[in-house]
Amino acid sequence: MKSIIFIAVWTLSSVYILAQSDEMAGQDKSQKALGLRAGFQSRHLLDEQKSALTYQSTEIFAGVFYRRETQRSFLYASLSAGKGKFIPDGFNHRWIYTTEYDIYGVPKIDSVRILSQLISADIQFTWFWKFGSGKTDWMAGTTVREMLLYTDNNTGLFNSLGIALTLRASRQIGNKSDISAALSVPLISLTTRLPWHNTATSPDKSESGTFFKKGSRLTGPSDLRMVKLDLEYNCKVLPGISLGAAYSFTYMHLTYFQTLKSYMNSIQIQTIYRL
Amino acid sequence: MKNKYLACLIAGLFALGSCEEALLSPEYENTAVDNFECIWKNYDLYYGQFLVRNINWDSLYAGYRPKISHTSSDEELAKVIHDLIWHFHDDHVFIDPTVKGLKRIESGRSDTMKIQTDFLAETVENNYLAMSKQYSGHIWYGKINEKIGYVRMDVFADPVDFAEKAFDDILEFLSETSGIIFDIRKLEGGDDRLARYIAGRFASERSLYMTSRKRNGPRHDDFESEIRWYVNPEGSFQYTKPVMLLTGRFTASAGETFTLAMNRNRRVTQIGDTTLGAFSDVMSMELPNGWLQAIPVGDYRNHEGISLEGIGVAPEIFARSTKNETLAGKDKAMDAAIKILTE
Repeated sequence: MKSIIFIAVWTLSSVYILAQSDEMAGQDKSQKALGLRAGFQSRHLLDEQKSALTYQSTEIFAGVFYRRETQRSFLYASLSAGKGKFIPDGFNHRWIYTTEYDIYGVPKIDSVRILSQLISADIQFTWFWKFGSGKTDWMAGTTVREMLLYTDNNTGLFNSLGIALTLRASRQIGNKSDISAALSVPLISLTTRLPWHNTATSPDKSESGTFFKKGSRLTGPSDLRMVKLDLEYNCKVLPGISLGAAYSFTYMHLTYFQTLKSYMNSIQIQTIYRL
Repeated sequence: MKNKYLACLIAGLFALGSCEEALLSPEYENTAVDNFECIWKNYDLYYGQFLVRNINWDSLYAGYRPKISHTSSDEELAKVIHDLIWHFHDDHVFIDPTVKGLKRIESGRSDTMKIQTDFLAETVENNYLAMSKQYSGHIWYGKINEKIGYVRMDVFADPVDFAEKAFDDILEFLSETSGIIFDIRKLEGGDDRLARYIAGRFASERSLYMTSRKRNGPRHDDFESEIRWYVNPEGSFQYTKPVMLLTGRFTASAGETFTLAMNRNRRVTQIGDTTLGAFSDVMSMELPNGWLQAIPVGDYRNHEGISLEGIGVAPEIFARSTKNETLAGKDKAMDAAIKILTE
């Protein structure tokens, strides 16, 4: 927990100082915007520490984001959360059967359908430095990203708080539209998953406390390989208001304790209000 | 034109995102051979008692793997798995097929011990209790007479907060009694921390009652550091009069760690039959065919460092009714407990 707080405070402080110095340079007035988004995402996940089956989620998600842009910098913060079904491919109708016997030896068979759900959350905070000149804005930035994946059967249970390198390009199309693409790869993260033995009980801590204490470690590119690609298109529909659509693809490969791989496609619509 | 490029790019990305085999590359296919391999490897990586039980897992692979082929049916696979896991003699080792008609594949006593004959709730309620109430889905309590109270639980599933309130109420209700019978003969398991808390409601001093350690690596002797479990006096007050703890072969898992904790209390007398002998936490894995594999991951010991896995906690006073006695309304463990409390 101390490491999480340290990474978060250090990075947020750095981003804040950089943003302030940019403001104080007085290059131009910043443009601020607040956005709302909602969409659908589908995640495929193989957690070899818990299952030989490949799970697929069908999630709906919603979120909010904030942008502040100057000639030299671009600040982006977002928060989103999703929820949905989380079922292994090909096992939509799986049942577990239990048999109990009364004292006379008469069996009673019960069956329960095996279902599971997933909750996800994603918080990111990026400060970009703009470089290059021309019609396309090129940016490189540092992202602090917190990802949480909670499943009620513990498959793929995962948390990560880390720093990523993000590249972004955006371009105006005519007077009303713009497109952008961003690519992000993590550099270092405090990653948490269930310990080797997949249980999280200890005498004096809660399950979540044990999860974070026993399952956390600092991961670099050798342990956690991830790439996130975002594509976005926005169009002004009213003065100060834009509507847009976005697509994102995330691939993740975690190598401890056993392999956890996933990829996710996400599509969303969004509306942006200029502040 | 630009829009066409954009559309092509998005279509390409969706296609990329659809390449499940390439991106995830699962290790196993859903074949009988792969299911056997997966089961064997999972126990190899996670099972916590190879050393305690002196199991040569590699030799069992060599003996059973040839009995499975790619054409083996579910029933044939189930038979070979049963013969394989039988060698554990561990009630926490089992496989749950998710196929109608196939029953749980079990190891240990649970493989053959299906019918509990030494206890019947109706026998106790109809023949021994002057009054009884159900506090919640898992807790019953009452009185045999003004001097003897009765508490029964069938699983440690409630949150500790709930148990705190429940035992405040129940122990307050039984505060005028001179002793309690605590019946866990049908307690199948649950949360060890809740078991410890409830044992603490009867404790007057701190005692080490158990140690545990869990697998943390691929070698059979790869373990996390040992955890020491202490029972402490819990709650705003404790019941410090004699307690007769009734156990049996169906007292399992957290019911047994509860028994270890209670037995550190000198006012507790364990009566009945030996507990099942399956203490460890269990993790659940999924096999390529969707079946569920239960794997005990721990090495649990009593306060003296002795593993009772496969053995159980023996009672101080043995008392077990036969099926006919139980059906006739007689409960020998209850009789023994009442006799001690009324002496």
